[in-house]
Formats: sequence, structure tokens, C-alpha cells
Amino acid sequence: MSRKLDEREKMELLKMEKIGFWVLFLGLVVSILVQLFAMQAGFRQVAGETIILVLGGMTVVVGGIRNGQEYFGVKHRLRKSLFFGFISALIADILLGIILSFRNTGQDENVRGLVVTLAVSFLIIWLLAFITLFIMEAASHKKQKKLDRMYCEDNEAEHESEENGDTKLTEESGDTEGLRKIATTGNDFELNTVKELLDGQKIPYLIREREAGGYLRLYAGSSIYGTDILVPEELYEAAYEVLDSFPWNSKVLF
Amino acid sequence: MKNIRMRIARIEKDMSQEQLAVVTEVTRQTIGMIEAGRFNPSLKLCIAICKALEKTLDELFWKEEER
Repeated sequence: MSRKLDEREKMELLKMEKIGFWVLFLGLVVSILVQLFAMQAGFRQVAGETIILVLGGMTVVVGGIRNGQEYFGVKHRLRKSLFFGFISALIADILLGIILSFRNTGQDENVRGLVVTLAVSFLIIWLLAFITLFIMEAASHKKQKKLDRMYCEDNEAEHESEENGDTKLTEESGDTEGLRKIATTGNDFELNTVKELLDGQKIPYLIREREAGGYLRLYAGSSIYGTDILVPEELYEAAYEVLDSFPWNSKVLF
Repeated sequence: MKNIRMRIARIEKDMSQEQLAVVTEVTRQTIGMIEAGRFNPSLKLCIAICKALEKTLDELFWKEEER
């Protein structure tokens, strides 16, 4: 008999799955290393485990990229990709050096050959790790920008203008998207009446004071230029009906 | 369902999504997705958002019946 898991059960299951993932991941790494070191196995003999390890790692990485998980950020992408690529290459090269030394024990040791092999492999691994990390971060950043475009009002142009010290927002900046102007009031009485009527119906609204040639961002009492009231587009009809039921002395509704 | 109340409260507070994200220690995309109704925040995050916008949980997250 199947039963739906509740929120707590799902979260605990997720936690257990995370621990399980790391147990499997590290278990595979240890298994590969033990076979290579202690059992003198060839690289072909550990190919199966290595493929599973790589596939598991790739699943996590691709999942992260698809969710737009950034680890380094744009500014540090190059530097950090180089740094972590270097660390990865160092660890891999140390392990490779130990394996090759084990294999050559008791044979005519060619130290120079070993050093050259390790140096070349280090550079190759560093380059590959760097390219992989850099591409991963670039792909994640691209996904982040896509999420920005889909869900965020604060697009890059706005950020650039903020960085330049221009923080004034206008209707064109997109923060009134999804809102529609329903009324313009000319005094405190009209404004308070609109607010009370909308509050009574629990209709959310945004109040914006007008200024000559534009809008003031903050509501700070009555304005000689009038005050605009904006409501969500989907609630416009309901709000209009409520406001229209009041006998206004002047034209308030938009 | 879009969270228009949260968006209005944020605009009234003169905050951008980026600024709210910094205060609540999440990413800008997370705030955008909450407002777009694409992500259900945890109670902890809801409270952080309410504190940042000086609103109650009811005011921002209690869904009224469809009109």
C-alpha cells in the first residue's frame, strides 16, 4: 500500500540520500585506490568503477549547472578555475606518482622518465580541469542569466545604472509590470477613501505620488501633482467595481 | 500563484529584488521565483522576508480565495 510522504519525511529522506551519495562516492574512490595500490590491478580492471564514479559526478555537476549553481562568480571565474584546476591536478598527479612508484618497485628505476611522465600528466590534467571548471561556471552563469530574465525585474541594465549611481526607478524599469493604474487622487480624502475601499476587499495596491515629469518613489502624504493608485491587473475589474460604487465628486477612476 | 502582495510590499519599501535578496541571504533569482509563484519558501525564509519588508506572514503569504 503506497502512502504519500509528508514534508518532514521528504526532507529527512533527502538528507539520508545525500549521506548515501557521499558514502557511495567515497566508497568507490577507496575501492579504486585499494585495487590499484594493494591489489596491483590494471587500469582496465577498475574501468567499471571509474565509469560509474565519473557518471555519478557528472550527474551532480550537470544538475548544478541546470539549476544555475555558481561557485566562483563571474569576477573570479578565471582565477579560481586555474587555482582549483591546479589543486585537482596536484592531487591526481600525487596519486599517479604513488601508483607508478609502486609498480616500478624492484625494477630498474627510471627516475627521469617518471618525473617527465608526471610533469606532462600534471600539465594535461591541469589544463583539462581548468577547461572543465571554466566551462561549468560559464554554463551556470548563462543559466543564472536565463533565470534572471524569466523571474527577476532587476535586469542587468538596471544593475549597471545602479552601479553608476542612478538609482531612480521609473515605470519603464519594469517594477510596475503586472500592475495597472486604476485611480488618481487629488487630495487626502480621496486617497484615504480609495485605500479604505480596497483594504475592505483585501485588494493589494501600490500608491505612487506624482511629480512633475515623473514619479516619486516614496509615498509621503498628499501631493499637489496627485497620487496614482495601481492594482494587480488580474484584480483590476474587482477593484474598479468597488471604487466605482463610491459617489466621487471629481474624476478619480482612471 | 503569483505573490503580488510581496512584490507590492517590496516596492513600497523601495527595495529592489537584489536588495531584498541580500537582506534575506538568498539569491536574486530566489526572490524573483517566490514573487512569480515558482518557488515555495520555507517558513524560515518567509519570516526573514516579512521582517525585511516589515509585514506579517498573513499580509504577505496568506492566500485569499480567488475573486
